[in-house]
Amino acid sequence: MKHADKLRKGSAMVEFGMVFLALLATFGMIVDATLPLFTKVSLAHAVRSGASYAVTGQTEPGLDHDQSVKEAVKKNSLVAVDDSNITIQYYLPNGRGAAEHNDAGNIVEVRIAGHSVPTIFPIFWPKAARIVNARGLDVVEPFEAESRAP
Amino acid sequence: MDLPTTSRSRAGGRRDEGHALVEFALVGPLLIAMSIGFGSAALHLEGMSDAQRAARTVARMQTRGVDLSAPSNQDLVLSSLGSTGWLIKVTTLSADQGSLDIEAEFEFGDSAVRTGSDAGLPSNLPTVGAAPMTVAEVYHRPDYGLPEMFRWGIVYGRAAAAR
Repeated sequence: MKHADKLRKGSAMVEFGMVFLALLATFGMIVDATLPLFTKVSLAHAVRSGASYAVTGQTEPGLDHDQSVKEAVKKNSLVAVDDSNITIQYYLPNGRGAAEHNDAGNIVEVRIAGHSVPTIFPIFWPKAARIVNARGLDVVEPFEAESRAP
Repeated sequence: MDLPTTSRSRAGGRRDEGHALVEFALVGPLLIAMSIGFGSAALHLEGMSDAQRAARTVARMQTRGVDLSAPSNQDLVLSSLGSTGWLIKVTTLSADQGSLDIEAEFEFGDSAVRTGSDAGLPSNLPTVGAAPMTVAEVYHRPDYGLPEMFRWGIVYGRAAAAR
């Protein structure tokens, strides 16, 4: 191989190395920017589905009402959600604060709080901007008393 | 065959590099602006679907007997929407011999969101017997921290529900 060919090959490798790193960083930045949005949409859908499930009063075999709602939330989420991040709260329809049970007419709120989205390139995005929360509301329908929430 | 490198060809290479830099400087900002524009348009579309969903939830809650004139319930609805810049208008209608009369009307949220006049209720609302019907209208100004030129204005959602 002649000297000029060797030089050309070397400079092509250096250029490839530089461009590849830049491409990789761009790709990581796009994924890092869009992952929280995807997570937000997915969790919003999951809590809405959980609230829709909660108002029917049905339960999964072997689980109580609230645990069944959490399962419904997890089933409807495209990202893995931790049980400890999901809370279910009932409110009185007249606006006088929280209710203890899922009685018919009460508002049910299914909430995912503090879900952390992982980063590929942590240097680009502050950690605080990657916490996603979602809330879903619905009104409890009349149903059999056995499904009463604890 | 190795071509001899002359001072003329070296100068030509430098000129090419210079052209490429100028072209990149021209095209680069355009590409960046286009990327942000596409991104903001996508976020605006998502805002539209959020507004539509919020309207459905509000209309459903009102017809199911939830008192949305209570401030705590209004706070509950607004906090479930996850961001600021929401204005929600609730209109309860009753059907009387084929015509719809407004029974009650109220709004809550950020009144600064709506800058223009009301979109107004559609003229072709169906009358559902004598059952009261609720129409929820939602105005939302999405704010994703982008400059004004990348904002697409206020989104509007409307839904009706009857018991």
